[in-house]
Amino acid sequence: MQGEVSRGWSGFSIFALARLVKSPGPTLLAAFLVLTLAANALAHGERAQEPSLRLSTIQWYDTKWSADQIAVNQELTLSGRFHVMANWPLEIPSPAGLTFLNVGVPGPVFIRTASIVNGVNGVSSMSLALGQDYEYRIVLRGRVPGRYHVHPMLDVRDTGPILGPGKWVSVTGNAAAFTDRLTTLTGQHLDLARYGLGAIAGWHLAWIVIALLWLGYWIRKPLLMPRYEAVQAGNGDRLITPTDHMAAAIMLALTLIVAIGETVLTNAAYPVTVPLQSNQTKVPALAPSPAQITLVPEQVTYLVPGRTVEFRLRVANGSAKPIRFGEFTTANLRFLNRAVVKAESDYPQDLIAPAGLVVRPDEPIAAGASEEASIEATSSVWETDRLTALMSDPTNRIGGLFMFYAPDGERSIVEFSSPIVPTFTQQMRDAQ
Amino acid sequence: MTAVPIARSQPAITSAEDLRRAYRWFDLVIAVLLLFLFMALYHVITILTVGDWDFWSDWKDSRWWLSFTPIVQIAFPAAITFIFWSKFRLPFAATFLTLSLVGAEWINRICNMHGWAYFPLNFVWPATLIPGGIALDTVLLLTGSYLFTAIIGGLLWAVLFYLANWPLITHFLLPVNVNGVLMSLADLQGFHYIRTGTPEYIRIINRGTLRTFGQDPIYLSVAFAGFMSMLVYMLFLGLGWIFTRSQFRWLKRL
Repeated sequence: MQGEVSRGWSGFSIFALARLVKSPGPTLLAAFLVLTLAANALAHGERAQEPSLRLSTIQWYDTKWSADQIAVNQELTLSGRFHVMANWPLEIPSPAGLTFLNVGVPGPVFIRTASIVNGVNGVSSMSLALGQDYEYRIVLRGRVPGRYHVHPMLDVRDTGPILGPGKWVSVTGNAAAFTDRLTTLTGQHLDLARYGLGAIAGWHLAWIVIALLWLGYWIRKPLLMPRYEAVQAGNGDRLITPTDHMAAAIMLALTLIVAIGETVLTNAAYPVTVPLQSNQTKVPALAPSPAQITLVPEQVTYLVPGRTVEFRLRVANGSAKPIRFGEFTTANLRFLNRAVVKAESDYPQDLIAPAGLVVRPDEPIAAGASEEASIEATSSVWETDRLTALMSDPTNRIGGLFMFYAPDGERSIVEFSSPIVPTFTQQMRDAQ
Repeated sequence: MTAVPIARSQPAITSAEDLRRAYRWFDLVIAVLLLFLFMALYHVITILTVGDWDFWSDWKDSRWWLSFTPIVQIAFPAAITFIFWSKFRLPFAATFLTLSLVGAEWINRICNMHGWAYFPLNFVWPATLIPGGIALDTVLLLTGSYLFTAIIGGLLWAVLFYLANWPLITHFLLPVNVNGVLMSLADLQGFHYIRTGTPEYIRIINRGTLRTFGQDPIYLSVAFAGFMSMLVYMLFLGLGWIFTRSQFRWLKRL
């Protein structure tokens, strides 16, 4: 069997290659289509992350982008909140170790001028507590014109990046007009985008010229074959002349003089410097949600043919107000109970499931009451965002945030985590 | 049909001048090939060993950058120096290599890190090893001894790395106040110019207890780098020797 597979594959490769060479037209067309269509897919590398990482670690919510389009040098503020799951998977290193609030963009097409997490300066790495919520604000400034998918992102040490929701933002204008002006504590005004490059290039050029002087001295002489023959004949030492010694001494002296001069001149120009700084901070969490609501999962299933996650839960409302299910969010996807919550018009619509959240019974849960509820979150995004690949993972759990709303609009957020069981056929579902 | 007489082949080299010209062409071809070979090899070695310390200004610290770079970078020049000196009595291998490296690095920084990835060049500039390379070559020529070259040249290799490169990073060690946190300009470059794959906590800068020595590990780092460079130089001279034992038969035949 193994042999058959191998022959089949190699045969395919050779003949397919031959066909491609004979008729390049369809191949070129296919390549064009792939490249054209790929342009839309380039932004969604986050879907390649394994589902358990997206479903059970960081839950992003209230994410806002201050604009869809900015000019070069204009600011864009990315803000929102995230919840660090208390039920963080044991196999994934958590941000209780070390983490850094970052931005998921294709390189420095923006610059980041400020980053704040719960009022603490986020320029350094930080430790976060499990089960807590954090509010962040990142200020970016347009640098390179283009259209970019902008995500908040937490880099967790030993885990890697965990991306928040992304939105397309355009930067317009001329990249050459970008400036990054600031004033140092020594009173020097400078443009960090260009500062220091002249000195670096100048000293590099000086050393290249000195190296070329030394190489030029030798390259003007016969090199390889005559010298090899002389060395083989035992006359190697005669190849080095007193002039060579003199040239070497001059070069060594010149090198030392230039290097020491470079240091002396620079130290005189910059008497006040600080070493590279490395800080790590502890960030206090947000105050916990006021309402005391508990969720006990009874069963969570994924109906494969219906692309529906079905939750059967018991909700105990320990708050002083009646509450209703408003939203379930996980892996940057939002399922809204439209009778309670309206989607923001400027939120990326591809991250909001069109069918929303179906809650039965969709009645307020009275204060102090405990009720059973059945909830359906139906959407093709379970497939298109590759979250159903969870079924091939060694850990089949789903996590997320349920958001409850009181009649006065007060929101309570409750973390949810449960095992999930797939149901592969409708007949099995009906039988259940 | 009359038989056409077959012309007797003439030797290409008939005089000393022809021989000299042929040797010069041979030198030129080999020099160009070696330039590209050394650019590629030394650059790959640098990426794999020094890596981030050479890529970013906010990694160029007073401890790891100043010690680690010279120690690992002297290996390749040592091996090639043995071949150039023992087989050709040519004392410019280290200079040639360091010049090739700096050329390859600037091509990489300009085309790749600036042109493709948009990083400003003043954030991704490379270090230069040229002064150390010249020192290794000239000391070898002046002493004619591998041992003295290892001791004097190895030490100079590390000291000159500091002298030639610390002034470059000094421009970026001016202090700034970033919303209540003290940072150097280099740190600020790392914060401003977003690297999604290299978050702040990955940086390996000034870690360890060396900084308890007078708050300044520079001179200890340079001294340690000098000592280790001597050992690594000797070790990789040995590798060059092994190479010449096995790989020079073809040149003899030629």
